[in-house]
Parts: sequence; C-alpha cells; structure tokens
Amino acid sequence: MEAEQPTRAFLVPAIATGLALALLAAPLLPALFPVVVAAASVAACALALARRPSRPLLLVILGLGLWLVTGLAGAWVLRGRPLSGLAWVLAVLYLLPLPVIPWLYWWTFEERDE
Amino acid sequence: MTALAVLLLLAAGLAWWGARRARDSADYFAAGHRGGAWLVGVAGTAAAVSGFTFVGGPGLFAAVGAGSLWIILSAPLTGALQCWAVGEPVVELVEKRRVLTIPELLAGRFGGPTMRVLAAAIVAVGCVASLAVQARAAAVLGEEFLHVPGATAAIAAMLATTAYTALGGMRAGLVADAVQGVVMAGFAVLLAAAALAATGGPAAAVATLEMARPELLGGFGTVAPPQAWAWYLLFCLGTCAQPHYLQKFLFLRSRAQLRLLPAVLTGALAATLAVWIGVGLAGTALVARGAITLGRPDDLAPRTMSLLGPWAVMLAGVAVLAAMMSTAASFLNMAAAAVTRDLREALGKVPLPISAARVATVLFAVAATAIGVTSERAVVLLGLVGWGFFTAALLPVMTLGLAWPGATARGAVSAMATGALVDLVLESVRQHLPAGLEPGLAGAALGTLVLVAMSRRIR
Repeated sequence: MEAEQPTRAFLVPAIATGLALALLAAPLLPALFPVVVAAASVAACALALARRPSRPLLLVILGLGLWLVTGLAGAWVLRGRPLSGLAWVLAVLYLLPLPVIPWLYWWTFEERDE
Repeated sequence: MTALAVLLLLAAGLAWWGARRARDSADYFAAGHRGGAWLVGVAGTAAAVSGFTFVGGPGLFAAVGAGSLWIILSAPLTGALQCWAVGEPVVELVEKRRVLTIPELLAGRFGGPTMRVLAAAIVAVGCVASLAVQARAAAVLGEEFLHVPGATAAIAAMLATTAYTALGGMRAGLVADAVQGVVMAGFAVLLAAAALAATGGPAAAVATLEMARPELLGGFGTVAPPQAWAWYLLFCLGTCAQPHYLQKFLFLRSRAQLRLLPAVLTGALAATLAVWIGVGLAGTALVARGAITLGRPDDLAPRTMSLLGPWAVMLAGVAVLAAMMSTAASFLNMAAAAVTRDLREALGKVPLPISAARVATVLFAVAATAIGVTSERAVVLLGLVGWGFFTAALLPVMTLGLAWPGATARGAVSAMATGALVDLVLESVRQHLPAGLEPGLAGAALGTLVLVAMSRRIR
C-alpha cells in the first residue's frame, strides 16, 4: 500500500479516534448525534484526500458536509410536521443529491499516471 | 412452479457457459479482473440488495413511516463514499498484487498469517449465516409470492444459484448478478409505479396518510431520532465493510473504471429502492383506506401485490428471488475462497484447485439451506451475524487501516476481533440498549480505538 504524505497521515488516526469516541458518546448525548453522523460520513469520504489531495476534492468534501448538516438539521426542525417532514427528508437528503454526488465523484476523479 | 422451472433452466445454461470460461483462480474468484463499470456496478447492486428491500422495507414503512427511510437515505452518498474510502485503495492493491479475495487483500496490506486466518474466518462465518438467512427468506417469500411450498422455493433458488456459482465461479456469477440487477431494478420501478397508481398517485397516497396516520409522515415517522441517525450511519459507513460490496472492486479491469462506478451503483440502487418508498407509501395508504388488512407489517408488500393482480405477484416473486440469488452467489463464492484459498495459504499450504472450490460451494449451499429451512431458532441466532457484524469487524481495517500507514498487523487483528466480539455481545442484549446505540457501530468505534492504540503502542 502506498503511504501518503506524513504531514497528512498523522491526522487520519487522530480524527478517527475523535469520531470513534464521539460515536460512543452520541447515544447518551443525542444532540451530538447529527454532528457525528455528518462528520463521520464526510470523514470517510475525506480519506481520499489523504491519498490524492486536491482543491476540487476538498471543496466537494466541504460541500458534502454542509449538505449533510443542513439536511439533518432540517429533518430535526421538521420532525413534528407531517408532510413537510417527509418532503424535506425525501427531497433534500435523497432526491436532490442522487444525480449530484456521483457526478461530483466523476468530476474529482484523477486518472493515475502509470 | 413454472417460474422456478424457468429459473433452473436459465441457471443450467449459465452454469454451462461459466464452466467453460472459469479457467483459473482469477476467473473463478475475481471474474478474471475483467469487469467494466456498468457490469460491475449493476451486478454489485444486485449482490448488495436482498429480499428485505422488497418485503421488509415496505413493511417497515407501514410500521414506522418515514423513519424507515433513514435506512436508505444514504443511498445517494454510498456509491461515491465506497469508491473514495475503500474502492480506490482496494483497486490499487489489486493492480499491484492481483489479489483475489478480501482476506488476501488485508494480508497483503498488513502481512502475517493471523490477519488472513481471522479475516477468512469472519468472512466464512458471516457468509454461512447470511446464506442461511437468505434460504429462510426464500422459503417464506416463495410461499407468499409464488404460492409454492417454502422448502421447494428455498431449495430451487439455492440449487439454481449453486449450479452457476459452483461451475462458473464469479465469471458466471457476475453476469448472472448483472441480469438479476436489471430485472430487480426494472420490476421495482414498475411495481412502485403500479402501487402508487392504485392509490391515485403519490399526492393522493400522502393525503390519505395525512388524514389517517399523520405521525408516519414527520421527518422521523415514529422512530426516535437517535435511532434514525444511527441507522443512517450504519447503512452509510457499513457499505465500506460488507465483503459482498468490497468484492466488486476485485472484479474491475482497471482503476479508470472507478470514475463511472458511483453513477452506476447509485442509479441501480435508487431504481431498486423505488419499491421501498413507492410500495411502502402506497401500501400504507391502502391499509389506511381499508383496501387491505395486515396481520403483521411484512404482509404489506404481498397484500399490495395481490391487490394489483397476479402479474404483480409474479413480478415481485421473480424480483425477490433475483435479489436473494445474487446475494447468495457472492456469499457462496467468498465462503469457498475462504476455506480453499485463504485459510490454506495462511497456514503455508498450496491453495486447493478450483474443483475443490466447486465442492466447497456445494457444501456451503447444502449446509445453509438445511439450516435455513429446518431451524428457525438457528436462523434467528445466525441473523445476528449480518450487516452490523461485518461493519464492526471490518470497517476499521478497511477504512483507517488502508489509509493510515501507521496501522500495524497486530493492531488490525485486535481491531477485527474486538469489533466482532463487541457486536455479538451487544446484539445479544439489543432490547436493553438505548435508542441510537447500534451494536455494529459501537463495535466499529471500539475496534477503531483498539486499532489506533495497539498500532501506536507497537511503534
């Protein structure tokens, strides 16, 4: 396995440790949960940054984080409202990103020099 | 019965085709590393989707409403996530070392026989458990949809799957999975549209529920938000740790194929999940109107299909069988590889030939079918070793382990053992756990801490 740049490598276990601890604490502190969900999902995507850092990929990862935080927060705000709650969840968290995220991957994919 | 007979005939033809093409271990276990993004993406989705999507998903919607959707809401993200987090390093390692299995890949990354033995054991145990659950589900759903004795449906589905998987390995399995994936996606969209049309359209179905069961239409339905968030995370990150998901990366012919893969995975998955949302919403509205009645939530899909007519029952039955067979084919192949290749090489012995893998495939199929058809209690116990188990055992090593050069073999082995053990213990006391504490996620979190701690200590 190719080793990534040491300057970035130290971040990977540090972030993973923090997320693991937060994930274990989240069921006891439910307010922490949406942040952990967004952070863990985005951190997993960001593993690609450790291998092939680029500005477009960084922007995409940050954008995904913003989208997830917005989507999860909106679902929480609308939790007691029938119809608008379902509409938000389906539209913002499901239908809207369906064509976008695969395209973002395609856009940020880098062909490797052989 | 006719559907089952056609199924067996098609499987026999595919087995004959595959047997002529599976010439070596690479063909048999990794489809010769010749797959393109379209073939692998559709086949990978078929292997990933089980009968639960067609029956359990709509049933869960009837029980908890929009809360059930948190299991599938990560679908837009998971295709890209898998490629970013694990697909790219896995494909690069495959290109470098031509590995054929996930345990071999992990041994290639971390070194040492212990890693490969433990990974092979986890894969084999998890595969057998999942196969038994698939066989059981085939029996139940064969009775519901195809109106044949449960044991007949389970044996026919497993016999057909075993025929082409044993003879043709994943050369045949990949083609079969892709065909099944197209069938599942097409039928899912058709059945969802027909169910919604029967209620007068999505707006009418929603209006019915808004009047009769408004609590189902909130952002979380009747599910506690922490539980919904935990489902989201489990089924989002968990895609990076399921062996039958990871296996598809071994089939790709080059790294360049990854570029299109998330689009294919996401498109195929979204089409198939239409049945969860469409039949769930429409069926629940039909229940609210009194058009159908349920004995239990899982009756929703069969009863809705019955209302639509015999054609819908038949299509749903075929789609469910396709979902089960494609999932079972991957598990059979991986279990055979674990015992005939991974365990032997880890113990310093020469891998057994393909003929032995064929025999192992048949034996695994027989054992899983026997357990699935005869022992409900065993199936319940084996059901614990599923998505959460693989997530707990493999997520830390597949994500952190592949990305962090400082991860050591001892740390990885400890993480896998810790994650698997924690998951099994917590699953056994699941009813006492607080909402949001998912055993698979807790196991993965503790496994991650162990991986970091043990790796740092050794260094």
